[in-house]
Amino acid sequence: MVKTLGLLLLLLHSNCFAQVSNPENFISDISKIFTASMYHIFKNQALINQKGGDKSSLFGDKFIEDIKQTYRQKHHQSFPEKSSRLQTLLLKTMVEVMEESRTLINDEALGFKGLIPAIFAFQVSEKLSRKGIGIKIKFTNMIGSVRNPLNLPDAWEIKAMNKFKNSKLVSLFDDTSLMNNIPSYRYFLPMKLDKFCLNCHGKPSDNPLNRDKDISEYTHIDMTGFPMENWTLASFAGGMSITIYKKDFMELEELCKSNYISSFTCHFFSLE
Amino acid sequence: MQKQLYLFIYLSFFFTGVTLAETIKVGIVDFPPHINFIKNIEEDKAYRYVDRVLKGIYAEVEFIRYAREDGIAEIEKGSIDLLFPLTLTNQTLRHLTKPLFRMVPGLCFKKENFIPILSAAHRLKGLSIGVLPGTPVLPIVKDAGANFIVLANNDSLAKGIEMLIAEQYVAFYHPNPMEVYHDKNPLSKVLACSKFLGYPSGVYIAVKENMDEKAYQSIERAFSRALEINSYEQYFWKRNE
Repeated sequence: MVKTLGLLLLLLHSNCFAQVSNPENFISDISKIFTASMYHIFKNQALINQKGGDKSSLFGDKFIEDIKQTYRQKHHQSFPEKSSRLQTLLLKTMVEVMEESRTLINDEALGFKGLIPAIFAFQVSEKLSRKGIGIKIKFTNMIGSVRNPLNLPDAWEIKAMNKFKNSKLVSLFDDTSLMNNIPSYRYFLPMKLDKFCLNCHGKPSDNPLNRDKDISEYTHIDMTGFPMENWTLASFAGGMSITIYKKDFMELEELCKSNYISSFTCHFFSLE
Repeated sequence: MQKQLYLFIYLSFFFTGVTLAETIKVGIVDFPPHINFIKNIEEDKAYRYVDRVLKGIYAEVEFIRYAREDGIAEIEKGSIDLLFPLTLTNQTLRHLTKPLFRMVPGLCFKKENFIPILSAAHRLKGLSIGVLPGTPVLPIVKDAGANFIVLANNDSLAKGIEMLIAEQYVAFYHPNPMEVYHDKNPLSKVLACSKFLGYPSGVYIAVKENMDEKAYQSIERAFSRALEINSYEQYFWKRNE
């Protein structure tokens, strides 16, 4: 019994050490999973909004598998094989958001359900922040270009966005910043507009509600109820801002090293 | 997952050396779909979650049903140890630090009037919205220029929904619309609800004021760990358990 327990703890312990990563790569992986999930939600708009039919692929393990598949297609690389606790938790949170929306998704009387990529992402971010694991993900843009006031940028984000406007940076990682006066890792990834984004953020001619209509009858209100921004594929569309308090990142990393209870805690999600 | 919850609770207490004490009295109030007095509450997930966590510390957990106000009166008297699920907007009851779960306010509509994304607040301008007196309405809804119809003092949420169906107004402001809009509620055939995402509020487990500090700390620690590892929300939304 003692030997078995010892072996179990040793296994958990060694697994944890294998997961140690550098913060920039770690955050970058998180952002890639997030963007893949949003793209996946977009690809499934027809299924989400159809009245009736089999929607089981939008839930549970199948949903996770499909996100991984989308990740491979979108980023042209394999899904991180040894997912960290946080990555696992992120995928589980996505499943929870879909589960919470099950009644809506399966509502046979409603067409447009409003479960668009931005709303999905907002719910996942909110849920993650509620779990108290120290990661904050936000989609933001310049003041005046943000639809939801809860996504207004802070000073660091405004500075980061200005850098992107004046350079060809791909992403920005900052390990010297503070958030709420707490030392943090911060990361900003500009959103590259896909054609599907223009359905809502583009010109009235991109709006599916205007399909087959005369120009004189075009509405500039998109299907979600917001005025369209007239963006093109070249427009700056803000981006994804990810923050992890250093202490929380350290804690995530050290959880496994520190003691056996934490090892168990650390791996609980992976065991499910 | 059930087995893992048990396993976690067992291991947590095994390693921390907490011993089982006597009986704890837990008041429980109606809070559908989490606690539904119309059905067998022992099958409700909130009941099962709280029961399992407490059974890690107490030899016996005694649940007593109350109407919300009666439950609050009992916990204030100290005749029960805990009371849940409870929103604490107007109360200053002692409670566990972490909420058991959070709820997000929203609007319910008849399906033909459904507005799916409420951050498009301009769509609420001039909309007639029923609201119960005393319900804290989010500033973004107030600022949107909606036309509020305040119900009578003795009206309930159920009455508010009835009036929505009778088209006394276009939308009904619900502090937790997911109580109404879920698979098991037949009204979901007629209504649909959406949420004000980003405005959650906590639903707590209240604790009697004079509970001794050692007992409080052991309950606090047990729930804190359980929520961190396998949150109630995660447990609730997981199907077929």
